[in-house]
Amino acid sequence: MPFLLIDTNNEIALFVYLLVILLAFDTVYTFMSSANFVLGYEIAFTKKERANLSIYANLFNAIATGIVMAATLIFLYGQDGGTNPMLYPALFILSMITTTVIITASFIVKEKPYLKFEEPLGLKEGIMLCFKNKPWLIASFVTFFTTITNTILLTGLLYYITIILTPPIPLVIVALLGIFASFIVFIGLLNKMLEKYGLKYTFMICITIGIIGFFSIFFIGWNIFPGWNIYFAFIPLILVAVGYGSLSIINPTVTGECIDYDEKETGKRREVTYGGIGALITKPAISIANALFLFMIEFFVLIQMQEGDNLLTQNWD
Amino acid sequence: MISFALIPVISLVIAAVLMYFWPLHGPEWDKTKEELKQIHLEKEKAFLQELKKKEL
Repeated sequence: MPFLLIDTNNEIALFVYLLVILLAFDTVYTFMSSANFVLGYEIAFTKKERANLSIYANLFNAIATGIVMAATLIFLYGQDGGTNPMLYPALFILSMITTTVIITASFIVKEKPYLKFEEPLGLKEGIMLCFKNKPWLIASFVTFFTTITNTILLTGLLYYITIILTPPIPLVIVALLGIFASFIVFIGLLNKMLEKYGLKYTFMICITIGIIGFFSIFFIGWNIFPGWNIYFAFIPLILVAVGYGSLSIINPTVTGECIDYDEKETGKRREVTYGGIGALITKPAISIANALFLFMIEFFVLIQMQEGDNLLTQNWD
Repeated sequence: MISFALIPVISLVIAAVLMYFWPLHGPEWDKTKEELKQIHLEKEKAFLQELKKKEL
């Protein structure tokens, strides 16, 4: 571990060190993501513009996630099974490139000039007015519950595929590509749905598709026919990807409408305030989802241990 | 499967019920959005005029 400045055998020191690093990273990341949050609402104003912007943002996000996953797979393990000696240089170069792109982009992007001269509200008054925004309060609770779903989906997908479905790896790749392709096709329909049904009902249709997907997984996505499970799970997974993936595109548009409502009430654009307070809602949701998921897994593993199951051959279901 | 499938179902059902009460939709809200668009344009115009005055 060449980048650690402390003795890795000392657990307390390692814990404090990683905690400080995580705090520093998360603080910087929150600064950056708050600015990023504001940007979208200034660039785009109508529902269609915001949905389109969100589609591109999600596509680039998917590419970035793919690079991170590929880099981890390529550089994490060496041929002898230990840490790949190229891991740290690769991470260093990747982080330097991305940091340079972010800093350069921050000089190019400019906010609307007249907004710079608007008098902001005081901290206390600003926060109080957020909680008087009823549409935003509703949307925040919706975000809270969709974030729980999102986190569980991302955390559990790997467990679900590798432990419950146990398909051959080439089939996993084909299935994931199929799911991704279905999602892309559905995105093409999303703008038409927004025009026809409006934001609220499009959001509810997407939630319903997601519910049907997860519900179907619960009933037909089990380890029933070894070797064939992936086929049974394929359609529910497409529904989950389509329904839930679309929510990640529409959700920022919903928040944007709430901020517009706030502007109507207060006469000021307050994306930053909403971005900051929004983080107070989404971050606990992520922690709760992870804790809940791990608690449930541990709970069922403990029950099976008491029943004398072999931990190596069981399904964590 | 309970943690992977059922908790998300419960969360999404609650989200759907809450979303049903979200009020920002319909012709009245569309009208408000148009008004806001006009306000933005007016603010920008006023700002540019202010800049021109200072230059003169």
